[in-house]
Amino acid sequence: MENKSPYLPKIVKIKKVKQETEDIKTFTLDYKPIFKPGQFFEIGINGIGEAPFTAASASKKHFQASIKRTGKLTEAIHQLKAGDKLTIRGPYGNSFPIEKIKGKNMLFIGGGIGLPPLHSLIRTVLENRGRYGKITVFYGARDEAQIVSREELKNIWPKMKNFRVVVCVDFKKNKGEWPHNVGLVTGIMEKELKHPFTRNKNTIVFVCGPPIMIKAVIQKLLEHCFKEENIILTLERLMKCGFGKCGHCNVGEKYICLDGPVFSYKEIKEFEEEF
Amino acid sequence: MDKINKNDLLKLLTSLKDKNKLIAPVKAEKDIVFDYVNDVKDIVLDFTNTVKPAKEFFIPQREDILEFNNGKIKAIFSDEKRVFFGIRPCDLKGLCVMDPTFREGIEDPHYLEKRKNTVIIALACTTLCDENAFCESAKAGPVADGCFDLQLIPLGKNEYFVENGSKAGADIIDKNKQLFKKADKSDIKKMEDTKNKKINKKKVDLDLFLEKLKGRFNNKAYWKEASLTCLRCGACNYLCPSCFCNNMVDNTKKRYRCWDSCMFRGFTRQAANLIPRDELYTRFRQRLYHKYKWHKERYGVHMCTGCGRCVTYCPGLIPYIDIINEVSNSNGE
Ligand SMILES: Cc1cc2nc3c(=O)[nH]c(=O)nc-3n(C[C@H](O)[C@H](O)[C@H](O)COP(=O)(O)OP(=O)(O)OC[C@H]3O[C@@H](n4cnc5c(N)ncnc54)[C@H](O)[C@@H]3O)c2cc1C
Ligand code: SF4
Ligand code: SF4
Ligand code: FES
Repeated sequence: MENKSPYLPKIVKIKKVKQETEDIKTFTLDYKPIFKPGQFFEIGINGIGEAPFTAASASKKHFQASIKRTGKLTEAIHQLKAGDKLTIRGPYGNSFPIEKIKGKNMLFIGGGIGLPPLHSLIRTVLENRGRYGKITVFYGARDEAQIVSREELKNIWPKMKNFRVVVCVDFKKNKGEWPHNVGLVTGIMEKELKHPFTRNKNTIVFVCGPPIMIKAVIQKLLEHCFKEENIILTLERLMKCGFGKCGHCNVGEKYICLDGPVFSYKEIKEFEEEF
Repeated sequence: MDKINKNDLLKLLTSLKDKNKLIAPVKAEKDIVFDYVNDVKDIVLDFTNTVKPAKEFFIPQREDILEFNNGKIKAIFSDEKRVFFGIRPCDLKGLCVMDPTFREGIEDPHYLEKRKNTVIIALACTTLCDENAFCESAKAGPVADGCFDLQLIPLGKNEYFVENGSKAGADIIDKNKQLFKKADKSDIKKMEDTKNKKINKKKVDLDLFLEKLKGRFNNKAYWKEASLTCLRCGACNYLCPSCFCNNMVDNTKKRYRCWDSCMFRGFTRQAANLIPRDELYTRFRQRLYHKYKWHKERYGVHMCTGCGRCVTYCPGLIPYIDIINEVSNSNGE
């Protein structure tokens, strides 16, 4: 009986901690779960609590999550070092529509901490590169110090075939080493959506980031005639259980933890006010 | 078909108490509450309804789920076998309404084991419990049409018609045959009259309400006005037999689950202090839509059994029944 509780997490060791920015760290765990890109896990510390985090790694590899320090639990997680322990349970939720995107071009739009959740999908696509079309990544951060996944954005992805990366920062504090644009993601979209590499109304767009950014990005995409069903979002919501029992993530007849966190804009637009 | 008189009923409960914990209505100062009972003499047989619903014996207001001990974690379960006597049809249906939530996908044994380990002897109503009850419109009462192991339907002052609803119920009758008598034709007629009798003063049409809610969601002005006097206290959730939303909280030794309320501002509080339902009207609207539209669309049952408590005990005097009727009779905008 004691082992039957779905709330009972596994206790796992942290293998590696990587400082991404001043307030974001990527934790690699000594744990190789099977899951689909886009799914999330409840990660926690006994006595403090749990919260949902999207896997940034690919399935069956050492689990990774990029965690932004924003409050009580994430503050405590950030104190942990390699060798310390965390609790984890999952995977939960649906996943990115891998089948639907075969042979299609993809545009990933990430803001702030919103890029790592898209990572696990990008990684999965790269593992079977031939099955998919062109990839574009638009990424925006507040300033240069806030840019995550620097290695990928700067050195790895841009050198790949059929892969285009555009990075922008809201503010430019100093003369950085990055060749990038200044302004909001939506600002660069105006220009970049017309770029021959990216321009294609049938492109599948994946958006992940803070709610204000998501709203503005959707607006822009619609103005450029992207189809509502081709705009894929991962939504954030306070989640306590992760599997449809606590009621916190209910929006419409959906539970974000069960039916999401991945939705097309078409599916949720009726409840836009709720996000 | 069987019947049982009051004395024999107490004998039955005494004998069931041998192998099970017994939960039944008892007096607590001025109120009647459900509690664990040692002596069947404490049981109150003539009561209308309890203030607090029966759900707390299945999803307690606070329940330990995990225990932390030197870096190890253990789940906490009780495998207590229980007999729950006296649950009223509205509270009974409240459980049936939340069952699908705890069953869907990954099951929740902390709730479902309690359901499985509890034999329910329901008690049908013959008199009005609350001016605001609309259990007839909610298809929950005054006599239950399922979900019980046994249901007692009063036949006058001293006797009950016994309706059997499960194998566990049949076993109880079988093993205690000497306490039951055969119901005759006039008993059956009385029982059927009780089933057909209408006792509610309030009436609603929940299917029509659902239909009319469809176009109302973005009518901000209406929801603002309707929620004006709400005090955000959450009583309408806590006292509701079918509300199940819950929170998980840690202390240094345990992780426990406790009731939560969609009326609370922190209910949707995310990282960076972002609160999607920051404005009261959006939370008020959520409560109604979740209960009367979305739960029904997802699970086929309304998350309301018409007990009337949310109207009777609301300190903000929110007239939920009037709201339901007003929206139902509107043009749906
Ligand atoms: C599907 C999903 C995927 C996510 N993926 C990632 C990711 O990959 N990386 C990442 O960094 N973040 C991610 N997040 C966000 C992450 O879950 C939050 O950053 C995290 O919950 C913050 O927790 P905290 O305790 O540090 O924050 P705090 O702000 O301290 O607390 C947040 C939690 O504390 C509780 N709480 C505190 N005060 C109250 C109150 N007044 N009332 C009620 N409850 C209260 C709430 O439960 C709340 O959820 C994801 C979220 C979701 C839903
Ligand atoms: S009981 Fe009344 S005052 Fe309290 S939260 Fe519910 S509607 Fe508001
Ligand atoms: S919503 Fe109100 S009337 Fe309906 S079951 Fe809950 S407390 Fe009773
Ligand atoms: S997180 Fe608990 S219901 Fe979705």
